[in-house]
Amino acid sequence: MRDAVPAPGSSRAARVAASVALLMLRLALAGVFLFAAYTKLLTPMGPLNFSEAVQSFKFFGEHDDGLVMLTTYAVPWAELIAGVCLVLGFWTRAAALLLGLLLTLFIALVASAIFRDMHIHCGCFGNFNWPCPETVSWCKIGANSALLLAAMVLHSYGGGAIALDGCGTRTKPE
Amino acid sequence: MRCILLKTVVLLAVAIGAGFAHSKLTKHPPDLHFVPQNPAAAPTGAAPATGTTTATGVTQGPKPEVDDGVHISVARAKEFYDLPPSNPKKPIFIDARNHDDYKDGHVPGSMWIDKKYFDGAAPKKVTDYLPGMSVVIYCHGADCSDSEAVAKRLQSLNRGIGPMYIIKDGFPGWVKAGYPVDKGEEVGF
Repeated sequence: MRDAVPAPGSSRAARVAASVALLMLRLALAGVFLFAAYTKLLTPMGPLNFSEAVQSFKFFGEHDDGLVMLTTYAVPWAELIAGVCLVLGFWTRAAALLLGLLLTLFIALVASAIFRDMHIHCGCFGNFNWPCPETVSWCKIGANSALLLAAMVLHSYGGGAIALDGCGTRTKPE
Repeated sequence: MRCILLKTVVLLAVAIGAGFAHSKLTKHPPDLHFVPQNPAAAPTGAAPATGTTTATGVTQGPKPEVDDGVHISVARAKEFYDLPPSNPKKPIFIDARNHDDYKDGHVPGSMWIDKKYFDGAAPKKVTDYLPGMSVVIYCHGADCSDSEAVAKRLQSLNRGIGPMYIIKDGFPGWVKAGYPVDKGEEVGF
């Protein structure tokens, strides 16, 4: 199952079902991160809001403005690029791994903020706060964990047959 | 697996490169620090700084010094709070926390402002009440950056709002000092 190619004996219906399921998962995960990238990069206050969120976690020193600025723009670009890759089914496993690493970092930062009793905004989706409230909470960790699980599934099984990864190959999409 | 790791590194490098380029090329990079444009002014008509008695009966010490002209102690904020309404230097207190926290308890007479309301046009109450006024902003305390976020946004309106002060220890410090607290919705704005 590692390459999302069902065993030779499985039916065509099973292969199609697996590919459709992986496509839906890719689109769902991509949708979340493309929206996150949009709120951080393309809304008028997006970069300011996210830079303040980055600073509030106190991950960098007070005078590391260069690193804060780089993170403010690099993280949403990573979300955008990985999201596009997932939509196209291009380098699916690598994109899922990149998102998985980002999500792991987000979960660690949110958990750290909760344990330090910090009332801060994660800045994940700008001013859009669903399904969790805007301040860091266990809800955020739960939501990010669900996304991490989705990323792990895609990393394990690949993009399926309905993906650029699968074009021109029969046995090993990526 | 090695191939996947290599592709992941490539994607990450492209993202970092794109982010770096974007940060350098953008015409409006975000302000990372609040730098007040108006110098802080001492309140006029304040009570002599020989000490004040809080609601719990504890007598405060001498008036504490302002640290950097912006971040002030709760005792200094209380001096501003105690200025008579007729004093033109009396600031408006601004609560920068979320609405639920505001309703659960806030400095009496404070205006609630969430930074997210600056995404479009400035909130009407800001343009109606704040131009020409000094303000004291607070949120959850030393670890909370929402006060500075609101201060930056107010300053960027260029409406002559200021001087601006931020209570270092925030609302928790105000409560701990035993100062007055109101609950419920905003009144007067």
